[in-house]
Amino acid sequence: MNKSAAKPTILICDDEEGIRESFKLILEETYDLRFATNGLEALEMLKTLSPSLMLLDIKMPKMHGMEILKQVKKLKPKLPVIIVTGYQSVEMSQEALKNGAADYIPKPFDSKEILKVVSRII
Amino acid sequence: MSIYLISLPFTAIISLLLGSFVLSRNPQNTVNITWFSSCFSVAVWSSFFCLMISSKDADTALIYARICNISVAYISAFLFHFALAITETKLHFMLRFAYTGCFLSTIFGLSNYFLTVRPISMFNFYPKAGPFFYLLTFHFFFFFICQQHVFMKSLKRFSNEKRNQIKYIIVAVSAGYALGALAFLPAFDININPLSANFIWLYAPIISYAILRHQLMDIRIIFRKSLIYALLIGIITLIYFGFVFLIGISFQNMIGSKSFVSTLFIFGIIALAFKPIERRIQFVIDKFVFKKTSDFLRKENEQLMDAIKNQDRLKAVATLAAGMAHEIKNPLTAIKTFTEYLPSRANDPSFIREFERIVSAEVGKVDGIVRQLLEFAKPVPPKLETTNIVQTIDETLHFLHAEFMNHKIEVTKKFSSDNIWIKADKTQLQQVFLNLFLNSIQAMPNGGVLIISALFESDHIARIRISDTGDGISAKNLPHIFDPFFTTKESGTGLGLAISHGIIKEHGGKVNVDSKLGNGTTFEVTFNNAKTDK
Repeated sequence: MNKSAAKPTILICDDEEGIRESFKLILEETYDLRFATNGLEALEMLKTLSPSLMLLDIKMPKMHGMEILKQVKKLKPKLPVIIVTGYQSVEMSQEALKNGAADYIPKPFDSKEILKVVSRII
Repeated sequence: MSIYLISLPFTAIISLLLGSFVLSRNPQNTVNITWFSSCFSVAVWSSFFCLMISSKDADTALIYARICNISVAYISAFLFHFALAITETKLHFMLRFAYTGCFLSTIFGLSNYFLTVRPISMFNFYPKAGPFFYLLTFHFFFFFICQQHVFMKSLKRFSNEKRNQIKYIIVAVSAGYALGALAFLPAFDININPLSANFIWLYAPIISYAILRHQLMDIRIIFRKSLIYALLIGIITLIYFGFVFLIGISFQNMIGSKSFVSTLFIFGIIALAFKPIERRIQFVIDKFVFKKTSDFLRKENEQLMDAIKNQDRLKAVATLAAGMAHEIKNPLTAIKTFTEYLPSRANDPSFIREFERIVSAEVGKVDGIVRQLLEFAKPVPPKLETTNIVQTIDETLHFLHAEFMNHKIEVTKKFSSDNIWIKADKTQLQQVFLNLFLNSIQAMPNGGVLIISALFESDHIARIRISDTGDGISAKNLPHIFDPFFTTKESGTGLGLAISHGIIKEHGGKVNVDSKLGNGTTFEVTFNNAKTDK
């Protein structure tokens, strides 16, 4: 039996390796993690993948996180997306929530906080 | 000896020195060429005026009078051309009209319908106006009015610095015309001694003063030097004549010498006196004309400019620091997470390997970001070296990456080559691009497109265009955007673009702006003497 098949899948979209590795450290034990390094790659993966959750950075090459969020919501309206970004501002969080984000976590985050928010949503 | 015999050659010397020095600064520039031509015409006028009034016979006086008065037409035409050039005004028809007047004066100036000469009480000979002389007088005053109109009209278009410069030129040229105008009167049988003509040379220090006060420091020094040497020549000529006179009446019999020995003696005296006199004149001019020594003023000006540049730089650093604080959060997150897991996974060799790899890489990123910021913030003395403009633009764009993302601005780069070099101070160039990019970001609060192009053109010109799709600038504000302290933003200092303009000028470049309200803005920066690898 494939052990990871039983785990809920999380798609993590962040261009920074350090952040991807951090998520791996925090979530790998409980969740099946898939990684995309930019928005286009994430959207491509979502055509064949049905994750339980998506963690999305805002500042990335090729496509702005907010634009990715809009496209994801068109493609998978029910997929919960958590924005994880260093660019926190009231306007940005309001815009993210308006565009359908499930939550908004500022960097640098706390591992316990990530686990708490993710387990609440999934 | 008539005072005219000193003042008129003196005017000629000052005019020629000023004109030549200005021309030598940039022999291709129309402003410099027309200024030199005006000065040269004034020198011709004053020299032949001097020869005419002191002529011994009527025939010679007539030749001198004709040359002198033909040059009057050229003075007004060249000054009109100078006015058009310095105010960047195009009035081709009027210019042709002015030069046609010169041509006709030269042709008709040779006839007796132009002028004749006659002895008058004040001078050996003076012109008597013929019918064509009335046309010359009209030409002279008509183009004086035209150039004043051009100057006045241009005042609205220019920044404070240039506006003030033009105001002083208006005063200087008007003074020159007013002082010279009296010289026309005796030609029309109004026998007033044109004593004011002795002071025409004053226009030179007035313009020197105008330039001194308006930050063209290098040219100011040239004007100052020319003024000093003109006075020096005047004083030494007086000493020479004084000694010739004294030796003639007192010593020649005693030493029994002829003119060669006495001339040698005079030259010895002059050689000994030259340096002390020069120093004294320099001191007097600096103290009484410029109020302070020019070295002091130059230093004061440089310090002020440095302080303003530094202020602008610190403002830019504050913007960058805000953007970079976000950049630092990514590596901090990774370091924080791995450190949190260290106590529980310390015995896991694969974790320790990952810890070392990730944490050291992230610490390196933080170090790089901080180093970039410090590099930009620290004040460094300007250093001209071969600088790659394309690389400088790229690095500056990198600084602002966060800002572009935050404001949803898409950046498009169009470079004709990855290597376009100019002689420049790289840090100052970064400051210029940073200010221009920040200006574009602020013009696009709701996002937009920023297109940056860098082209190397065949005549060794580097042309950089920065176009945004932002709010644009109103026609009313457009002429003032490079004015210091001019800003339409609530929090802006109004120094960014003024500083950038100053830096570009110091590098021998030009900056133009094209904008319409609601249609975006394009800044175009050009530098000469560029090189590329093609």
